[in-house]
Amino acid sequence: MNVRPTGDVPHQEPIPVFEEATVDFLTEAFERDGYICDENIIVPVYLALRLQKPLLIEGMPGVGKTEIAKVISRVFKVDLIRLQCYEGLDENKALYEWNYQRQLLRIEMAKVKPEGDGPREYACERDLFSDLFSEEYLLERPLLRAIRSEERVVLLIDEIDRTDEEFEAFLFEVLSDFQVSIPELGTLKARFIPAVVLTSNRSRDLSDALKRRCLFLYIDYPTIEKEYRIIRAKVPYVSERLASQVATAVSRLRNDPEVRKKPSIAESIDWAKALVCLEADSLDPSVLKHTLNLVLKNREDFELYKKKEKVASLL
Amino acid sequence: MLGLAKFAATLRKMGVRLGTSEVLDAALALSAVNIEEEGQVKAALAATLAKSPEERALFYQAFKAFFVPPDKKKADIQFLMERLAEERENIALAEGELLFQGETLDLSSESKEIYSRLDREDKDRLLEFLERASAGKRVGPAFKPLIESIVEGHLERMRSRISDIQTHLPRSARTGDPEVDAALMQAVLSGPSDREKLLTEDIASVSEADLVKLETIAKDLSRRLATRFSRRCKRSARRSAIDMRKTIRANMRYGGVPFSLRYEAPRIEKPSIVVISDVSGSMIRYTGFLLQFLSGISSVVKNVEVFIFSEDLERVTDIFKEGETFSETVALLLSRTSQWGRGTDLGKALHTFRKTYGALCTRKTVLIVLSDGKTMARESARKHLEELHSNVRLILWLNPLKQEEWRKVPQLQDFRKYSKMFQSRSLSDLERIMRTEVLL
Ligand SMILES: Nc1ncnc2c1ncn2[C@@H]1O[C@H](COP(=O)(O)OP(=O)(O)OP(=O)(O)O)[C@@H](O)[C@H]1O
Ligand SMILES: [Mg+2]
Repeated sequence: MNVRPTGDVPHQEPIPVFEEATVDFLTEAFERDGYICDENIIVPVYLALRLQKPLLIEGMPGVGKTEIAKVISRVFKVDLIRLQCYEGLDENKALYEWNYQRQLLRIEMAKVKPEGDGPREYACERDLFSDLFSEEYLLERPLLRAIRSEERVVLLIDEIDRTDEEFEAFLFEVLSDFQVSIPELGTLKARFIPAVVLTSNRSRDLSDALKRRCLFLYIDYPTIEKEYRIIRAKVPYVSERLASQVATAVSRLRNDPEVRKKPSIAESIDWAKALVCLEADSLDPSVLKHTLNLVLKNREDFELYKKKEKVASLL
Repeated sequence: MLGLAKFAATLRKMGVRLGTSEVLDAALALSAVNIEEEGQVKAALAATLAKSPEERALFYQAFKAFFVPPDKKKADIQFLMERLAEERENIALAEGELLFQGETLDLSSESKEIYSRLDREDKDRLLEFLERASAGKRVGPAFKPLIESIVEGHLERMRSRISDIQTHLPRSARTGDPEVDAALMQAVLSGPSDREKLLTEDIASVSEADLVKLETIAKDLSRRLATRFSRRCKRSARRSAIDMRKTIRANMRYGGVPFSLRYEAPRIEKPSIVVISDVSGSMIRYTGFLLQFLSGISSVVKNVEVFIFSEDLERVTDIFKEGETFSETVALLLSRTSQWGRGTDLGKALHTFRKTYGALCTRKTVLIVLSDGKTMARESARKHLEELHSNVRLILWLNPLKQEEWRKVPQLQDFRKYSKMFQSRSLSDLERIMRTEVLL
């Protein structure tokens, strides 16, 4: 097995490289990292690393999509490079850009250089050109950084559904062979294929071409039991009773068709933390009344749960 | 990886869009996981073959239908083959009946299939139209295409009247590979309808919301049973022609001149059914479904007479018509039950029955009693059963009580001496009993 030195705690299990990690290793490592999941999540992660394919994760907001990329980077102790997508994101912001200010400055400086005769000036212009488009003036954006990295990295392309099809097509190119050609610099190829995680909230359908390149993982809202375990793992000092009450109440909120904005896992964690701070060791109507705004962020939802019978339905 | 290719074909037919690259990925993925572990196999295939939540739902359905133990797979294929044979028969039947001036109409297979599933009345109406069209004075063979398109259009409109056509695998969904098609069939059957579950559920505990579904299944089952039975009747009618071989042998002494004819086994006869059904308390639901079921097979029984009882007997044959929904039937039953909430008296009911309607019982009658046997006047009930027992072909006792609980009702032992008693709690119970005891 190819093993990288971990640097720290010497007696720890050696960390394998991405494609040599086993299902067992990942299961244990994810658990140690406090990410609660079963083989429905571990196997796709394992396959993505093993087959060196991007992992496309879809699911409702806050079910732990982004977290998976973070966990992978922690587990393998490698950098996480994140490309946060938004409407209007383009190649310049995603891949690279020339530093125009500095380039202009350089040109200005060249102008004030003492004049020479014809041929030398020509040569000088050529020099200037290649100088202007050298790495010194290159602004690396996340994708290029991932490609040029000397180390293995995790590349997180977060919320890809927010970009447009054109960008998606471009991304598809990059993900196909992890190589880009920059006219001024030539072709750059990744030394190591990064572990790529894409997330999407399904605000639009992604192209078939992109999906075809990826392995697919859909994360549902957790079961009560899973959420209970997450809360126990993420909230220090939470009692078993409180954790299970919170998990149950949150699940009921999500299943209530009248609730518009379903609470996320992050919100139930926050709620449980707040309850621990308030030293509540179980839920009751008055505690609910004062803390429900932490999970019902939408105003109408919150108003809805001012009704007694609604509150009672959570207990 | 033949299995994978077939599984992929199953998924494609179910509407999952799969290219070669996905299937190749799936093969790679399978080689990377522990294929002894179903969970890993399933997760690996899901990650490579199902790329949206909708596709994922289909994937799980397909997975469940496709990856089954060999025995189950064999049974599934067998089931498919039976359905296909049934369908071929249906089509042949339609081809034999749908004629224009003596010639078989050129219709799509689907149309023929629809025709074969129509009610007798609807069929007759169509046949009548064809007869009239054939006899038309100025109607020549050139009109055949026109007639065909009319019939085709008519049958297409009738499609919605047929509830069970969905339970068959649509032609467009077939691949021709038995393994794939059997899995598709199972996926269709195990679909969101929960058909299997409802089939075996205690009728009394089926939720209000599922009653309509149950009713549809009851119609489907009973109609299917009726079709099967009527085919067998027809075949037996054909066979009951003179059996030449037997005739010749029997007439050897007459030099082979057939003086005395020998016939094949007697024709299968349509049974007459008399129902005496308990409507006290929870029994009413079972009764309601029994009636639903019987109305579905009414085309293949000679005669159905229905009586309900709790404290005494009441004849309700008039409410027993086709087309009534389950809730309508139950409402009618309720409205007709005058002695509400008083005891159940089978003895008295049977007494009234024999006294007033005794003539309904012949050696061809199947008498169906639906009751849990918890009754007053046990001895009198026993005596009447004993008498009836020798007057009818068979007393069939449908008991909604679980068979293990029969011990707790001692009189059931007595009643069983004169009747064939079956546990009849679910639709599948009911169907089995009808198939093996009534529509032989
Ligand atoms: N399975 C899990 N185990 C432990 N913690 C979890 C799990 N799932 C989610 N969490 C917690 O929930 C938080 C929210 O998760 P995350 O940000 O990954 O959600 P997301 O799906 O990316 O949401 P969004 O769509 O809003 O970006 C994380 O900070 C993490 O602590
Ligand atoms: Mg996220």
